[in-house]
Amino acid sequence: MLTLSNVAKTFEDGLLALDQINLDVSAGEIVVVIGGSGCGKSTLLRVIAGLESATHGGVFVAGHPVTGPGADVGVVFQEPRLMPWLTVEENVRFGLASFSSDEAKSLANEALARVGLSQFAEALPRQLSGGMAQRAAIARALVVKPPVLLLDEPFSALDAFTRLDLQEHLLDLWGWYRPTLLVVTHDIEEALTLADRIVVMEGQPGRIAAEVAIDLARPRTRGDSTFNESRETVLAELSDARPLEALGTTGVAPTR
Amino acid sequence: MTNVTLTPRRPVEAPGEAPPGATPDKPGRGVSRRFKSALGLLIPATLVVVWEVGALAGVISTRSLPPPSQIGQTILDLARAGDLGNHALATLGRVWWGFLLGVTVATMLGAASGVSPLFKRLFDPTLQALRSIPSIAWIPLFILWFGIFETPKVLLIAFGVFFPVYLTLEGAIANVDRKLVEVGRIYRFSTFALIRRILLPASLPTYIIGLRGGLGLGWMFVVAAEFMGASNGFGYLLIDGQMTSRPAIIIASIVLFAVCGKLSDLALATLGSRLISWQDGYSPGET
Repeated sequence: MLTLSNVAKTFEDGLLALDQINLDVSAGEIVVVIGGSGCGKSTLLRVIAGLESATHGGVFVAGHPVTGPGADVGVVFQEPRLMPWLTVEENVRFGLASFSSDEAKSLANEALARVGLSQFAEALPRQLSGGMAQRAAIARALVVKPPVLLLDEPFSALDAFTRLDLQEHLLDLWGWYRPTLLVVTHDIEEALTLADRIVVMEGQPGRIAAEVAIDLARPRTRGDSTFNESRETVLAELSDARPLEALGTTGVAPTR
Repeated sequence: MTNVTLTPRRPVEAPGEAPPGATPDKPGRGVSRRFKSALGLLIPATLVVVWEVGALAGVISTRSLPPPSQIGQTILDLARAGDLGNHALATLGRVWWGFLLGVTVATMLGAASGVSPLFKRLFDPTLQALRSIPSIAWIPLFILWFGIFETPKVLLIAFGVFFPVYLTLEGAIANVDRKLVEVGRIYRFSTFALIRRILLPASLPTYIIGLRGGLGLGWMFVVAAEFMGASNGFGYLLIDGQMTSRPAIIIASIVLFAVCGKLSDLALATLGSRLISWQDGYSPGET
C-alpha cells in the first residue's frame, strides 16, 4: 500500500535529513516510527504526505508516485489545527469541497459519530478540551476514508490519561475500515500498544536502524510478559541506534 | 399574642422571598451594563454643561464660540429646512462609495501582496511611496482629471481608505499560522481557495481593525474632498460658515462629523465583533 524506495531528503541548507529509507507497508498494517527528536521521523512523515518532496528516491501510495498532498493520504498533526472560526462539524467537512452539501454533511456526521463528538458538532474549537479537539482532527482526516492515514505524534501534547484513551480509540477507528496507519511517536508504550511493526530510526542523517515486528493480540495488556519482552527488544534497538552526535556540528535539526 | 404577630408577618415575608428565586439578577445586570455604556457619554456631557454655563456666565465669548444651545438650534433649523438630510446624505454617500471602492481594491491588492512575494516586491514599494503623499496634494490633479463633481471626491476618499486596509490585511496574512495554511495544502486548495477559506477568515480580527482605520481616514478625506468645491455636504457647511462668518454653522458641522463618524465606527465595530465572536481573546474585566 505504501512503499518508500531509497528515499533521501536534503534541506535547502544542505542538511541531510533522511538517507536510504526503504519501507514497505501493506494494506491495513499499523506501522509506528519511533526515534529520538531530530532523527527525521517527522520529516519522513511529511515526505510521505507530499508536504515535502524527496530529494532522491520515490514514495508510492498504492503504486502511484507521491508528487504532492493527495486525497488517498490523510494527515493528523501533533496539534489539532482546527479552524477556530468554524464549528466542529464545519471543520470536519473542511476538505469536502468536491462533495454536495448533503453528502458532505452526512459524511461529517458519520465521522463525528465515530469519534464520539456528535453532540459537539455545533461547538467551536475553543470550547473543546485537548483530547476532544484532537478527536475532531482525526474525524477531519478520516471523513473521506483515505486508505492511508499518517499521524505525526498525535497524542504527545495530551495528558497521560487522555493519551491512553485516544490510543484505544484510534485502534477502534482502525477497525472501522482498516486503513493503513503510519504513526510517528517518541513514546515506546504508545508504539507497543498500537504497532504491528515498529520502525526504529536513528539520526543524523535519519536512517532506519531496525524493524521490530510486534506479534501480540489486541487489546494488549501493558506489563504483560510478552509486552515487556517486546519493550526490551525495542529499547535495545533504540540504544544501539547511532546517537545524535551529528547534532553538535550541524546545529539544531529542523523537524519540518 | 403569637397568633396576632404571625398573621401580619406572613404576607410581608412572601413577596420578600419571591424576587431572589423568580427573577435571578438579570434586571440588575442590565442596569449595570446600561450604566457602563453610558459612561462614555460622561465626558461629552460634562463638556457641554461647562461650555453652556461658561457662555451664560460670560466667561466664554459667544460671538466666536457659540454655546451648545445655539449650535443645537442651528442643527434643528437645518433639519427643519430639510438641508440637514440633504447635506448628511451627500457626505454619507461619498464616504460610503469611497469606503467601498477603497476597501475592495485594498482587499484584492492586500491579499495578493500577502500570498505572492513577487507581487509584493513589485508593487509594495510604489504603494508605500504613494502613501507618504499628503492627501490634499492630489486635489488639484484630481480636479484637472475628473472635474469637480462626484468622481474625484469618491476617488480621493477611496485613496485614503485604501492604505490602512491594505497594510493591515497584508500584515495579517503574513501572520496567519503556517500550520493552518498547511491544512489547506493537505486538501490541495487553490491559491484562491486558500485566501478565501483560510487566510481571510484567519486575518479577520486584524482586518476589521484595518477597516475601522480606513473608515476613520474616509471621514478625514471627505472634508478635503468637499473643500474642493462642493454644493452640499458637511464639508460645504464648514466653508459656508466661514464665508458667512457664522461660527455656529462651523461648529454644528464639526459636531455632525463627530456624531456620524462615531456612529459609523460603532456600526462597523459591532458588525466586526459579531463576525469574530469565535475568537478566544483577552477581554479585561468583562466577567
